[in-house]
Amino acid sequence: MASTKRVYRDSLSKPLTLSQKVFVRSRKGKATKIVQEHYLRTDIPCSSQLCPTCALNPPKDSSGATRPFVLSSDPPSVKSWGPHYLVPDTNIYMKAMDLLEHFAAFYDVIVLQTTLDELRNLSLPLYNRLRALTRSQEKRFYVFHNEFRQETFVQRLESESINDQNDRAIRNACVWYCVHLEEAVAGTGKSAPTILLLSDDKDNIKKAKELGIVCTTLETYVRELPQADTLLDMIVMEADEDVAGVNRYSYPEYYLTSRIQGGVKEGLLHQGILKINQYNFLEGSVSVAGFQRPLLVLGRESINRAMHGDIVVIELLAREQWKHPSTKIVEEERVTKNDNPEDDMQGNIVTAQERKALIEEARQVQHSSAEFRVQPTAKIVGIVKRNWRSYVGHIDASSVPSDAASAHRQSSVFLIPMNKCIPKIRLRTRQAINLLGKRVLAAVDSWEPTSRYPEGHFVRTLGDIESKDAETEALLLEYDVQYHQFTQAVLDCLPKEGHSWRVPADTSDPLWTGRKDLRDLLVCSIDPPGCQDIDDALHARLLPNGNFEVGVHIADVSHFVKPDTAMDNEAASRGTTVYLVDKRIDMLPVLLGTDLCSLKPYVERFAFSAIWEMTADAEIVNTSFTKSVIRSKEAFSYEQAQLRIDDKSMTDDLTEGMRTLLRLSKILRQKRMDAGALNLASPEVKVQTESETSDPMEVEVKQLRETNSLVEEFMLLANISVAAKIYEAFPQSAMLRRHAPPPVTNFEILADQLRICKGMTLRCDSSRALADSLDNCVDPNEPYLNTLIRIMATRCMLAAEYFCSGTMTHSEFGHYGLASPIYTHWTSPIRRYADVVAHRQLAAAISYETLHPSLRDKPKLEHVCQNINQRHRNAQFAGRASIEYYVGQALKSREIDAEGYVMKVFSNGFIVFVPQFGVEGPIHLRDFGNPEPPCNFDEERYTLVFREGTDKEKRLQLFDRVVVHVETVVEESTGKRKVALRLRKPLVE
Amino acid sequence: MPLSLTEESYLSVSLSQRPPCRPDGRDQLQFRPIDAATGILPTTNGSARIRLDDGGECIVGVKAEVITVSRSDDVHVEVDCDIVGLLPSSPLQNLLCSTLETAIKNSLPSRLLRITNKYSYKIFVDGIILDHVSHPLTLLSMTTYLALLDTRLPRLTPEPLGANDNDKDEIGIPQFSSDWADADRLCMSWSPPLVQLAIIVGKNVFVDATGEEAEVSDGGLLTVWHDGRVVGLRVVKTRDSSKQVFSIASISNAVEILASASRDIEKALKGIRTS
Repeated sequence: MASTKRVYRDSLSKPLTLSQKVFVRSRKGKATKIVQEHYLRTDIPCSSQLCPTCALNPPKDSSGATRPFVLSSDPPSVKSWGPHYLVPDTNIYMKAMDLLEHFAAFYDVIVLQTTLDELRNLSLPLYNRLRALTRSQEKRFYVFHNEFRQETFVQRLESESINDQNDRAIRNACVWYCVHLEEAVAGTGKSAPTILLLSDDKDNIKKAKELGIVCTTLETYVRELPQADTLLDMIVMEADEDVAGVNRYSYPEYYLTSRIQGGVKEGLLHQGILKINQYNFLEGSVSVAGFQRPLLVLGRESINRAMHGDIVVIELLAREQWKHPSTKIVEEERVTKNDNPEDDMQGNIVTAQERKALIEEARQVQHSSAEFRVQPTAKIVGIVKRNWRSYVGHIDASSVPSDAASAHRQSSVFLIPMNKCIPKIRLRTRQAINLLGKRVLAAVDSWEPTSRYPEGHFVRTLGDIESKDAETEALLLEYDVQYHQFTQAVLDCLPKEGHSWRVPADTSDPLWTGRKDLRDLLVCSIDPPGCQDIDDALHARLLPNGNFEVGVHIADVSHFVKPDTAMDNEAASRGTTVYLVDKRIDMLPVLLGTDLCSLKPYVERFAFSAIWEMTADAEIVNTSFTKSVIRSKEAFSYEQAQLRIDDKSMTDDLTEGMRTLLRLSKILRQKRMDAGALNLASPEVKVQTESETSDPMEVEVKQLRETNSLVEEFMLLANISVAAKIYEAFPQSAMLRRHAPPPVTNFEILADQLRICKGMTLRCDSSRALADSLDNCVDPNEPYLNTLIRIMATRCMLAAEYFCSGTMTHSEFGHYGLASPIYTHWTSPIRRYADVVAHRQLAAAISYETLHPSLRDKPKLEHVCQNINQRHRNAQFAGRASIEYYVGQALKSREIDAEGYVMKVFSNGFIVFVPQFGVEGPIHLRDFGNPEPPCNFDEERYTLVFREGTDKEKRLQLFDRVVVHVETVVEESTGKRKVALRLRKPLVE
Repeated sequence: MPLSLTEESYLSVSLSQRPPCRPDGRDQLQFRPIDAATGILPTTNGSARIRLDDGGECIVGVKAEVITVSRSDDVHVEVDCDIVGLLPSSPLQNLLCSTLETAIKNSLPSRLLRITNKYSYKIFVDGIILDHVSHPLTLLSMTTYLALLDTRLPRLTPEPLGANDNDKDEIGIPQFSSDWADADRLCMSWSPPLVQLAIIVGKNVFVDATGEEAEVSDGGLLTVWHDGRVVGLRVVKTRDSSKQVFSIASISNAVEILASASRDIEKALKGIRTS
């Protein structure tokens, strides 16, 4: 009581001055006058550890805690200015965020509130990065709320612009800091650190100098630092206005914001996400609500500086400009090979070669009679949100000046991103020669209408191209996988006992409350060999009434990961565990994933169990869920389990239980298939690595055993049962997973291809029809054809996604691929965050615990869903890219002939899929001879007829089996080691 | 408190004699001193407050909102006013609101509110009469006048050159400059109308009548003053037995007096704004 009183009196005893900030918020065409009032205080600390005054009476937060002082008493020193605290102007944040994040420099930085607010208005992503810096303790960034402190607050003057006022506020704060620190060290014999204002605004520097503030430009400051060259490369490039002025041709300007917003609202313009065709960098497509098919955006001028993944606004082109999608493989590398990064401003933005490529396509539209292929085209007139991030790539060697003299001067070079959908990025660097042959991370800064390529700056090198570490990090960065170590805050959430944590022996322990003792059940787990994070275990037994009891036991992760803890937030943001060939990026700390939660054999573990009573025909009589304690009797690999089941001499209860499971799973599977579940295929290969060095040894196609589908069936059953239960309990906020039926148009092309090339029909009016017609697509001479078609059909599907039940109508819940009306993920909480949420919701649904408020919060859950959908997709891509890299490495210095299938036919080449290695690659006509051999491309029949040298005519049709020569080369355009294919012989001559 | 018969007769006689004699010694055209302030409500686009010696007090806030319009020559203005102590939609309130609304609508050119062909500002004038002893019309009108003088409308962001203006007008959603200091004054080329009320006692006309004076008046006359002349007039009941019909001579006399009073008041109010 006494202390409350004192706090109250404290705050009263200090005079508080009120200040006002008035501005107009312009949103959705409305203009709202906003008035913000704030109280000016005198107790906002300077946060320097040198200052005894501020330390005397630091402001307390609501819980009475104070913040530690950030700025070091011994700040870094440079030659010209000695020890100093940095005060960057807003323009420095805009230009040098990568520098500020660099570990080598920029410590003890005072971030003024004024600059922080300005930055937020200019760029939210940069603002978030700066915020992250101020939170991390090691860089010692301190946010000084100068606008809330009486001495540093500035009132706007008559006819002063906001910019001028902000600049004045920055200078004012600098002056205050200088005086304040002088006072702080007075009498101690120490000297106060220099307050160094960093600004690239000439006017601000001039006025600061008049006030006696020490200030300098970014470049001058960085030159004082060690590693100046590397650091200077990381500064954002500014567009060279002088050159732009004399340029005659440029990209079209974007429409004004007002026109874009109005146009989208009126339905004259359309908004969507741009996707660039990976085979043709000049072709993009935008899926737009209201159109069945995506709208095409063709050519550099129409794509108009947009990049893959940007949210763009497009305008339809006139009907006569409609086209059908490209039938050519067009690689940026070939078309733009001779560009010089230094003088880019000459001539037209669109090169003649590009025009030719376009015109050629336009001609084909006229030849083509198939009306449904002509697609509306559009041009990009504005960009709502850039999807720019850092890109990994390598420096284009041909763009680096060869003479040694110019090698160390700043020069422009091209970075070729690994992702083929991203255009070359122009960088200015002083270390071009050193960067050759390295994986380089670069950021895009701007793309002016007068510049053919986006401008960017160097961030850092990851290492040599093709070195394992660099390539692994590259793909983690490319797919935005969070691979940093778990922070201390997260690790603090783990049980203190660590690996010696045990299930309490005493069943009266509070942890046993609400848990069933299932330790006597004959539970076992079946997983891939070497699996450490065992999510699930199973059991089955005969009941006295002749029915069977089947149980699925899932690791009780939600017991260890409580909502709204640091660990929970980290898991939610990672979303999923990422599996690479030689590495696993965990969602949860390894202690939980591979030990405390993992349902290891012979030890007691907490579990969450779904238990069914089934008849011998796998009809479910009863379903129940309970938290439990189990003790797994054995951990099998799929192969071991199969052997044990097949071994007639084993008749123990555990084996019998497994046989029961297998029998029931077959019935369940049949039921699912009858309901119309799809049996889809994706090319799955496995890379065998040497256990010591994890160097790739062998590539093999994954083997599927009956036991795989045993586990899968029961997991599906558990997921479906849980989905129904949590939806019943929480109709608005249940975490579910849906797979929308694919639009019929997605299958049009595949169906047409099958009809023409193979005389087969593909029906897709329901998943049942599709499943049946897929079963019928069998060619006795081509055993692999069916799998190939399934792979291609899978690519026509939409991706399954997590969603919160309140955001969709019940009819949209269905899972198309599984033919289930409702579905969720519940069975792998160690490696998927959605399952953790489902666990918590199920626990609340069975009244084991109360539901945490965050799991009722629909917007918050939606946010979680969005994130995990994205992470899930990226994890898949990263996994595939990792396999691709290792396949390349495994085949290095080997040359093999293998069978392949034609998957796509272009007018100047075709794509071949090689099942043995799960890879696909292009074969260009130009590989058959120079000049490119004449060919006859029949688009209607998906056939390419050409002549190689003097040989007789070769004829290739879609789905043809061919023999190809497989070797690996380092692809020039991406720097990736890729499988290169050469045609040995087509099967049909 | 109603006047006694003696008081009533004394007042009536002294006001109708020529020259008249007002109880507080003012002459016919003289106003009581007012206490005025503008810009008192930060969240409005413009605001003002006037306090009278007799305790009458009025606050007016002006808000501007962006609306879509079908015909660009409409003027969108809404005047609303609460009178403390009276129920909503009392006759007095209706008189006040409708008079001011019509006066502003008739005098305000639509181009001042126009943003694009499709978007326009709509002006909401909201007043509250906290207390009043004499007739509140003049009080409200003067406060509204000041508030409108104080009113500023956010300006469109300067668009880069080369933009196609025709297109913008067709479909563009307006974007406004975030700097409040950039906002334009509504009254750059336009002065708000001023509504003045006079009471008629016999052959005499008085402006700014006190409550007691109104009690003995024959009736009242209001004029709408805009742009240097009287643009409208209306007979107003000042008490229950108020006359509704006046001779042309007394009306023209009243109009003349009100015109001259309005001219002075407008000058005085503009002086408040600029000082």
